[in-house]
Amino acid sequence: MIRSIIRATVVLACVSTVAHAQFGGLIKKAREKVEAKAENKAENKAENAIPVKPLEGDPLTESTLVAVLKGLSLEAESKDKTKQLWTAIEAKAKEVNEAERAAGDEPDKWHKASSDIESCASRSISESGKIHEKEMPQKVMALNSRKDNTAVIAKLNAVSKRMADAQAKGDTPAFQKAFADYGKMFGFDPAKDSAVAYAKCGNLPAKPASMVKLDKLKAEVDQLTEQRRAAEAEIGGRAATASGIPADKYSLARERLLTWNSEGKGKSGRRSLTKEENDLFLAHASDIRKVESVLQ
Amino acid sequence: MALFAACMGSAEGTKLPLPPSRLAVREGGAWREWWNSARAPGRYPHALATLVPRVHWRDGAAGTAWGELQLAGVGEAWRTRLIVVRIDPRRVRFTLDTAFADGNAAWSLDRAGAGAVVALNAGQFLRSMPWGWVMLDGAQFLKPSVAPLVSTLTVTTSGRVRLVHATVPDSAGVLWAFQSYPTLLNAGTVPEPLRAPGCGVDVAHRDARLALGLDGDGRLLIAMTRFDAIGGVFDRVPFGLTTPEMAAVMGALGATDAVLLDGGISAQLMVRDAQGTAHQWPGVRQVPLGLVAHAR
Repeated sequence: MIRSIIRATVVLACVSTVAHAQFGGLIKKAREKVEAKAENKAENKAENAIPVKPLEGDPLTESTLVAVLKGLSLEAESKDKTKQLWTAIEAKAKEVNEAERAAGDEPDKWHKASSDIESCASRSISESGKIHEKEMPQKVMALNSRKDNTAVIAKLNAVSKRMADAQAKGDTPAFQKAFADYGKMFGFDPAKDSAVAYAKCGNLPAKPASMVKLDKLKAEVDQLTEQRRAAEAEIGGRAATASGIPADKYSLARERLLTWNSEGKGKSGRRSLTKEENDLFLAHASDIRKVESVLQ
Repeated sequence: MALFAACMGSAEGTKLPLPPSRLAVREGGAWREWWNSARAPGRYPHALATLVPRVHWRDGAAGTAWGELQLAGVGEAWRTRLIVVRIDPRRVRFTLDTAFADGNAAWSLDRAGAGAVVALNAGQFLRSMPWGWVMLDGAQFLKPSVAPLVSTLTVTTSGRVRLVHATVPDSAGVLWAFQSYPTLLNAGTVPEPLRAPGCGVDVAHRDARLALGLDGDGRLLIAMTRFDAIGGVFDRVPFGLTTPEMAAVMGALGATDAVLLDGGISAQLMVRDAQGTAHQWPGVRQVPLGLVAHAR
């Protein structure tokens, strides 16, 4: 029985270091940086010395080309939706840039003030953690001294599972709640440690209005970006279904057509496709041209 | 349940074998077999890093090393050139770069810049947006995804590089991150779905591959396959490696943890040699995300 408790405690102790890291993570500040991009012109292209790689997947036949074109038509019809989202992202990103300019050095000043307080709080929380670790063996023994440990072990296992699940999902609030419940079992309260730390180090300064606005705009950009990604995934899935061929075959066939298009429709001299396939694509050139906007 | 039954293969619970294949390496003018699907190791301890001494390592910039190997499958049916890059994270500074033009993915090696030591496409993507979690310079660009064979590469503010599997790592201190799939090696072990057909991963499909891993010394390993035969004689045969074969390649290169990146026509790699010349293996299409290493 005691082994079970100790094993569970060791597992949880390991997880608790992650929690400390998360407290420490509060120190992280958003860094804004624009890195100048120097154009790297074509240098020694090793590819030139290697024969062109034949494409993977089965060469397209008349029927698979017709199937892929069906899917691509649907993609082309839906392109407006993702295009609109892109336009919205660009517009919102411009607003972010303007808001950043308007905010001037306020965000830097706030981050500096917050960082000092959070460093201090992190040190305090870390000290409290060390005290809890020292006290842990004694508390485990106290828990184990009861006649029936079944309920304690079940509770430890349950809280352990909640912590692991939350960590796997990247759900920080759920993890912190589970960690707090774990701590309470051993007589410590992370929230209390945190309150003590901030009482000692001072509370974080309130964000200036310019930063609140900036945060809101950035969250809107994030939301639009996720929407665009979700729209692409949804359209891609529907296109594969519309083609009537399995999704993996649709993707591979799509790549062959995309390659043909990017290689100058068979005029570049590259030989990634079979001659039969090249002839087939040339015969359907006008149909392919209609979906060219999505062959990128 | 149906997937599990198919994975287990039979009522007796024995797994179906991998599709028969072998890998040989060109050494001293002869082909030497080093991997066979019938005896594929499930684990890759250091002793099985058999390809490491066979790579003719060349000095790259900023302490990187790179080299090439010729691999062959059964007979002369196909040949693959393997380009390998080894990076000491202590000598370089990693960044992730995104590029979009008119809503389309627009990153290619040309964007890496003259100061780049190594550059490659990162992660997987849908139509134009990266798949999974993306952290750019300490700020979350896209939300994480969780699945059993998803791996996450993180670079912390201190420059530490980690490859975490199946869970979303704590974001505290993470400067750059992206996700990809499937995991090829997890602490030296080949995941079960890569050891038999019908377990959720296509273990038979051949494609041009790009993989990234970490070796026991914490060095980043990049391996890319390219078709390697003369004049496209075999241009109707599927070329490239299967996913289990790529797991074997990474294990034999000394990786303890590894994941596939987007291969096929997306795969692109640049490595700068010690003299400053950039060697490039470009991709056919532009992608939304690139991983770039700069000299510290």
